[in-house]
Amino acid sequence: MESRDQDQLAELLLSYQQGDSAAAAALIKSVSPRLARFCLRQGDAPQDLDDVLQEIWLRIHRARRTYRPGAPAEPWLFAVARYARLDVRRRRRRIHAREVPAEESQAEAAFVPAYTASRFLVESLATLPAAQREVLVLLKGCGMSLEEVARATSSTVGAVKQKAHRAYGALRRVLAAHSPEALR
Amino acid sequence: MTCNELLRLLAENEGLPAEALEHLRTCKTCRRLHDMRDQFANDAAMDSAATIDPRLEDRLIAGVLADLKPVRPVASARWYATVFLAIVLLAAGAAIGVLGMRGWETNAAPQRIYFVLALTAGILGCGFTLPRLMIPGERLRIAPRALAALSLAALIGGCLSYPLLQYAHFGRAVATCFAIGMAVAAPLGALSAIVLSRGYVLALGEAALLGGLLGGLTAFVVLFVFCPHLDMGHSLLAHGSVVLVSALIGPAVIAARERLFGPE
Repeated sequence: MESRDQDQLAELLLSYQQGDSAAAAALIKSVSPRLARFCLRQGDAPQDLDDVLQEIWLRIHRARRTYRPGAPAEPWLFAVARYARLDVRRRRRRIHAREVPAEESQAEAAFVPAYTASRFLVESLATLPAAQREVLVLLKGCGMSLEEVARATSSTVGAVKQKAHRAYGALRRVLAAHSPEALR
Repeated sequence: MTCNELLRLLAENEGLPAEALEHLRTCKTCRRLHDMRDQFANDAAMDSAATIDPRLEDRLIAGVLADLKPVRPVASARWYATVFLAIVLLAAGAAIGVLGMRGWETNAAPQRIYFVLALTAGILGCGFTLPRLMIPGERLRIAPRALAALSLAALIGGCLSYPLLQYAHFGRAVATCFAIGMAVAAPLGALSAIVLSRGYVLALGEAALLGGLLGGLTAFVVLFVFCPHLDMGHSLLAHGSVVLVSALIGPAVIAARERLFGPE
């Protein structure tokens, strides 16, 4: 993310902390598409985005006093968002393990992507372990730096590099097993 | 340049040097990987035009505005580190004041130096890492589990330096020291939890691990200074086990709560 965008985001967060309703609305409009993309690339279904985004913003609202002036805004937002997302997934797994769904939900997709990544890319990412996929999504999908990803994942830069290295290694093995035509 | 070296460079997330570009010219698979990486980043840039369903957006905004009031930002991580370390000093000082320093007087210089260094490093590590777990998006210098493992390994190593002795009241001495240790560790762990609640802890298990470890290390300090039983068995079972139990009890409680009631 460009530093100008980071500064704008930080200003909105600070105003939101101070109870500015216009800033809160602007923050939600600005950040929600990014959060939605992050969730989709992590494997969440489009029809689940409604629940996930509501949970994310509930957590961000509760945690807003922990945003410190001067701290990078995007890692703070994604740090809260990823835990909220993980908790929603764990809750869903518990519910699905105990209940039989009456019918498949045909909820409208809450997110309208402007561009669809190639199926091969999406399938390749899905083969990665969750932690490695998350690092790649944040680095390349969300455009964060190593430092920002380390902050967002409550990790160290060294651990992020290691996961990225393993992720690229795994993707390379997938590519070596497939023909070039699969990339198009 | 080998393929593995190129993977390391890709993981560094910086621009590629001439050597790497030359490798991409010759290695088809690495070139495809590099192209895939660029495609992923390009997809993200084009996705910036994507929108959220306006009805969902309205619900999200309404949910936040319904409970919107000004809040004061939490204090800095440094401030909370000071608080944690102050609690440790007060607790250890008070306990040593009551129990005495026979252990310190009995220990040889090498053990004193070793344990002072190991315990100081562990306590400072916990004191500075815990506040970072309270504030989302703070950068960690060391992974909590690595800190716990290193601290425990250092203490066990130190305990193994003592001779193996047998004596009649071994069991009673172990039980007494363990009880004293837990009497120091438990309230300190509880105080840590109260301080942690001032922030917004995302990784509950890891925070509980370090909070308990901080209590356990403080208890070890007290026992090291007070206890004159300088034998391997006593050190490991009475002193070392306090640190282990304190560190693990928090994560165990959280795991049990999640199993019973689900995530928060």
